[in-house]
Order: sequence, then C-alpha cells, then structure tokens
Amino acid sequence: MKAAPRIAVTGMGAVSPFGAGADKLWEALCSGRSGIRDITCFDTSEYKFKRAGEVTGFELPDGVKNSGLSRAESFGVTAALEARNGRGSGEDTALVLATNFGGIDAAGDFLAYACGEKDDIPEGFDGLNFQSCADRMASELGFRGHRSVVSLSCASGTAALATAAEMIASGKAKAVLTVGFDALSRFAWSGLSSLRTMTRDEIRPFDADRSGTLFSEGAGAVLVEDMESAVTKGSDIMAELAGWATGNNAYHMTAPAREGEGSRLVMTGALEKAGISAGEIDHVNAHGTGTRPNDVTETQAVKAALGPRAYQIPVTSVKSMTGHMMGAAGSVEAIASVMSINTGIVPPTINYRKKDPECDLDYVPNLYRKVEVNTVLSNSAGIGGCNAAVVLRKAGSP
Amino acid sequence: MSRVVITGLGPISAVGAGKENFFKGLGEWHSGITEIDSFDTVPYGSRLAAVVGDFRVEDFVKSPKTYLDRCTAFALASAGLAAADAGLKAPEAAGVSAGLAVGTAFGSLETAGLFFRDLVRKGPRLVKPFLFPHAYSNTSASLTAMEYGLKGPHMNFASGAVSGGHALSWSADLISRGRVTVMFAAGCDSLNEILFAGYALSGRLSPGSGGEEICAPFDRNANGMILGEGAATVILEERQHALRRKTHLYGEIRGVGMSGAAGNGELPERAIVEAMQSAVERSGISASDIDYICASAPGCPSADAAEAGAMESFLAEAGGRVPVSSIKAAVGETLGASALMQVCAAAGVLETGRVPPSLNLKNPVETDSLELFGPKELEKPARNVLINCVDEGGSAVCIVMGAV
Repeated sequence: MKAAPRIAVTGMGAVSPFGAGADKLWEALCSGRSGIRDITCFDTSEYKFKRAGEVTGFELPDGVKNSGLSRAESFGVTAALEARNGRGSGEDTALVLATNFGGIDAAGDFLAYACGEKDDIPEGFDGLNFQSCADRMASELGFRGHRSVVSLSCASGTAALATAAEMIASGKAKAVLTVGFDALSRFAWSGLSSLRTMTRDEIRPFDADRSGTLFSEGAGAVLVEDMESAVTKGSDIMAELAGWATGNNAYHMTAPAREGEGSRLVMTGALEKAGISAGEIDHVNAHGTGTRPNDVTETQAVKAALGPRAYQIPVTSVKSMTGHMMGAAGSVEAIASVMSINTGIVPPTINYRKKDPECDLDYVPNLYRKVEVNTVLSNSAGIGGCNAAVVLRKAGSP
Repeated sequence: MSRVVITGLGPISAVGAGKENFFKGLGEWHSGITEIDSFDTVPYGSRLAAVVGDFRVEDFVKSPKTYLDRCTAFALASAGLAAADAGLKAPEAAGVSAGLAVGTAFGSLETAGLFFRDLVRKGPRLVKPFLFPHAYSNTSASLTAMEYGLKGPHMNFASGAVSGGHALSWSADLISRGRVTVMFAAGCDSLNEILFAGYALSGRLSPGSGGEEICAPFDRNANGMILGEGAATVILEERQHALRRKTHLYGEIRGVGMSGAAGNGELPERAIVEAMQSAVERSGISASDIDYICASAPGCPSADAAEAGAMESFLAEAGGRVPVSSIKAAVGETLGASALMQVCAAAGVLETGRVPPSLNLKNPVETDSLELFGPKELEKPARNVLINCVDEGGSAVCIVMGAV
C-alpha cells in the first residue's frame, strides 16, 4: 500500500483582536497582551457581558473586489489573502471554511423580516447558507475548485484542518486553504451570554478562580499542501501537519465528558495518526477556554493522553489573550503552534494568579518562555460534544 | 485501500419515511409536493413544497426529548432507521468503531429564528437559553452522535446543497483508509418560513415570473425549483467487516469526485464535468460503464441546462444513450439531504432494476446522449449508477455507486 502523502503548512494569515496579520497576532501573544476590551460594534446596554475580543479599526485590504462581504467574511477574506501570498496556492486550491455562525451577522435584518418583525424585505438571507460565503471567498481568491464549509461549533477551525488533511491524504486535492472565521453579532452574543459560559472577570484559564470565557471574533487561514507537491513548487514549508483526529463525546450538549474522554480520544488519535509517541510532544496548545468544567476535564484528558510527559511540557491557553474566537479559534491556535515551532517561543497563559490543585500542569503563567519545540499537540472542543486535535511538527522531521 | 459498501438506508422524505415507503413512493411515481400549511405563503408568490407529512419523532426515536428542531428530528429519525436497517443500532456496544458525518445547508434555522425573534421582541435578557444550543449548524450532528453513541470521526458540513455529498465523501475516505469501520453519513434540512422566504424572494422558486407552479426537471417549461425537506442517512461500512457480519449490502461507493465553478459567475458546467470524470476515474470505470445517472436537476432552467450540457460532454466519447432522471419532482430540493436521498434511490435501482422517473416530464429538452424519461419509470438492470449533486453556487459532488 502506497504511503499516505505527508502534509505541509505553507501559508498563514490572521485577523484578530490585535489587528490584521499573523505577525501582529504572534507579537501580541508573545507580549502576553489581552485583546479583550469593551464592545463597540453593537449596543451592549441590555447585555450582561460587555467585553469581548473585538476586531477594531479593520479595513479590507486593497484589491478586494466584493463590496457585499459581511463583516465575518471580510475577516476571512483578509486572512485568506495573507495566507495565499506564497507560491503554494493556485486556482485549483481547494477551500475549506470553518465557522459557527457564517454570515449570520449580516442576516439579522432578514431574520427579523422572516420572523414578522419587519415589513420591507431586506438583504442578508445568503449569509445563512454558509456555502455562499465559500462561493464569495473563492471568487475573491480566484479559486475555481472544490469548496466546502465545516461547522463544528468551537472545534471548527481544527476540524477544517482535519478535513483538509483527509482530502490531501486521499488524493482529492494537492492544496487546501482552510479559513476559520466568525464575527460578533447580537444573535451570537445573546445566545452565548445565555449559556453561562462567560465571565465578568478576566479570562483565567486553569486558574483556581476562573469563572468563564469571553468570546471574540476574527479569522485564521492556514494553507496546507501535499508535501511532495510543496517541495516541487518551492513553497515555504513552515511545518508539517503530521496528525489529526475528530470525534464526539456522545455524552452531553454543553458539558464535557467525564475525565475529558472525548478530548483524550482525539488527542490520542492525532498522535496515532502522526505515528508518534507522547514523549515526542514538546508543547500542548490547549482549548483552554477558562470555564470551570473545560479546564479541569481538559487537564485530565491531557494527562490521560500523554501520561507522565504531560507534566514535563508547557501547556498554553492562547484564549487567555485572544478570547474565544469561535470558528477562528482552532485556526489561530494552529498558527500559534507553528510559530512556536519556528521561533522556539511558547506564549503564556495570562491572568494566572492562583493554582488550582485539579489543574496541576505547567501552563506557562503570564510570561512567554523559550523552549525548543519540535512537535505541538493542539486541542479543540465545541458545544455539542465535538472534539478535534492536530499534531504539528517541525518541517524536515524524519 | 479498503472497499466501502452501503449496509443501511434511512430516508425520511415527502414520499415516505423508511426505505420501503420511500421506494414505494418513488416507484408509484408519487410526488410529495403539496400546499404548505405550516405558515402563510401569500407574501411569497409560491405555495408549494415537498413536506414530510405526519411526522412524529417519537415514532422513530425512543428516548424522550423535551425540544428538537425539526431538522434535528429528521436527522435522528433517519439515522435510527438506517442503523436498524444495517443491524447496527448501538455500534459501540457491539464493539464496532463508528463515526458520523452530517451535511446540512441551513441546520437548525427554525430554532435560530425562534431564538432571534425573542431577542428582537423582548431583548437579550428574555431570550430562552435552552433554544440556543439547538440553534447551531451542528446540533443535528451532536444529538445524533449522542443518541446512537457515535464517538468516532465526527464532522458537520454546511456546504449548501452539496453538504450531504461532502459528508458521504469524507466518510468513505475514512473507511477506505482504514481509520474507522462504520460511518453514518447523513444529510438533513427542514422547511421553515425563513428558508422559504429567502428562496421565494430571490426568485429561485417555481413559478418564477408566472405560469404553473410545478417542479419539472429537464422539461422545456421548467420554471423554478420547489423546496423539499427531510433527511437521509446511509450506513457506510468497510466491506470485509460487512461480509463477516453477513448483513445485506446495497451497493458499493466506488468513487467520489468534487469540484467547483469559478466565482465570477462561471456556469457550473465545467465543474460538473470535472466532478463526474473524477468520480468515474477514481472508480476505475469509464463513462460507458454508467447505466443510469441520478441527476441533481431541480427544475431551474439554467441549472438543469448546465447539468445536461455537462452530462453530454461527459458521455460524448462513450457513445449510446444513458437514462437520466431527477427525483426532485417527487421529493423536492432537499438541499443538505439531497445527495444521500439520491444514494438511497440509487440503491433501489441497483437492487430492482426499476429506475425512478422525472415526474412532470412532458416536453423534454433536446439532448443527444441523454435518455430523459418520465413521467413513467424505466426498467433497466444497472451495475453502475452515477449520482450528481450540484449546488447553485457552482459546487458539484458526483458519486459512482456500483452493484455488489
């Protein structure tokens, strides 16, 4: 049996609460800066939670043709254009988008109309069909091939990488651009507020006094290619996407499974796919939302998946700084993982003050650390019990 | 590479729920299109849809539920039917690794609308929290995984009308490469006023600018699509495992091709050709081996014409005429469910050699190599069926199903 193709990461782009550009994101993460601030994009006076990782001062880059893009899609297109600036991406590049809410931020008026709350017929229906977001993005990028959208709640971004990897591994594509994107909207904010996962404090992942997460917006784009094809084309090989796995707890809609079983299974699955042992993992990029249930069950899952190695390596929650970027979270966390591999820097988990005896791993509290990182395990989970994990490895590993 | 077979079918459609009723409905040339009565259609200029009538989720799913979006209810029922059909009602308990991929264009849009209506009318402090987790695109996937204990590979595609095709493709790839033994591949979408309004007001529905409201794929008088709803789940299984279990095999997924048109308004014809050619190449067969094409044609003149043109190009070298029909005049345009519903129909064709017609076909458009037939069914033994699934935005997924 022919060996499955290896997969290279050859492009990255981001729009985050720190601005447009993967470099701005990384610089902020290394500085331990928080992207959480008062929300300005809608009136929060009637909302319980008023702070988020909002993208402010954002403008579409020059050359974007479509003026009808929703805010969420604008983030996605901007990140995508940055990621495909390399030589790796041509018109046959496949596109896999990842989003929780798609263009719903622009569909509010249409929803109101259809619910009988407005009389005149507004625009925005298309945003409810996420594939139309993919069509518009493909048009901007000049792509003329396969495109799909995965929507796996907060695990979407990582799930898109898993999907892209499967496409390349089965020979259905040579290059796939994954774009995780989401925007704040009244719909999302009121729903997420009502779920009681947010906090009025800071986001303090793994801290004894943690009391919840805060949601954010933005986009992360990661271009992956068949390794041989990437080498032939002379693409910039930033890392290898060595392993991936997806799954569902099959347990509960909003609570993680006992002992984080669902997360454990995908982390173990990703390691198996990569053909590596726990001892080879140098860093875990955690889901790390800062909610009471997630952080303890994720800690249990990391220990169960990695054994004693879990205690020897840094575990970071990038969400402590970016907030929870919903569909973009997994994408942005993959970007941070690749940056760690290539810079030997692991970003901190900020806002960390008090150790929780149930969360007893090394979470890189408050200050970045220089660590030789060859292999990263990045973990994601989402509402509805879904889980996804990827293993990223230094380029040129045997 | 392992071979991927189909061992269970679970269609929930306007012509019938469950494979027996579904095949009977298609075989009797029965259309499930009817007048919508769940909301007022007067503002929209169209009145019809293929509605799943008399649907009670309790008939299909035993564990009690306090609330379910209609799309999710279809998905749960459909997955249960398919699992029972395959003899795999609780795969984990039976020690079988099983995962789930769902495709849905609009997900739980009805619930999202209910949640949003409270937000607009009453404000953020008076929304109903319990509705929100039921309003996600992947709610159906999550609840289906929970109901049937599907902890393996898990994905939800929200790729418009090709969502179900993506779910099937992803599932087949995983089995083929030995990552999992069984995959539930499901597609679902439900009719609601928001969805209907969106399609009607953008002019996509029959009767368009006038004439009879009718779904007539490949007919010269076709004037627009008619929406449908429902779900279809197929159980995909690694072939050796299925043989050892001595379970019924409906057919084999031989190959899947996927493509998309350029976004600058390029018609999807080239993309459909590419997807068909890719499917056939990956199946190790040629165009001349195709005995029947289960088309995507929804009854929109431009969509139907693009697909017809693509099929003509694809078949040009094969010679001869291939029977082609669209079941959408019977089950409507079911969006995320459509690809899987067509797979169920194709399974019936492979089993019985009776091919469902394009209902309402009176004046077929002119073609060379396509045998457009309807309103009566055709008798034709088939070994290879090609299924086309095309999204109006230009994406195409094509599936070759072969007899076992």
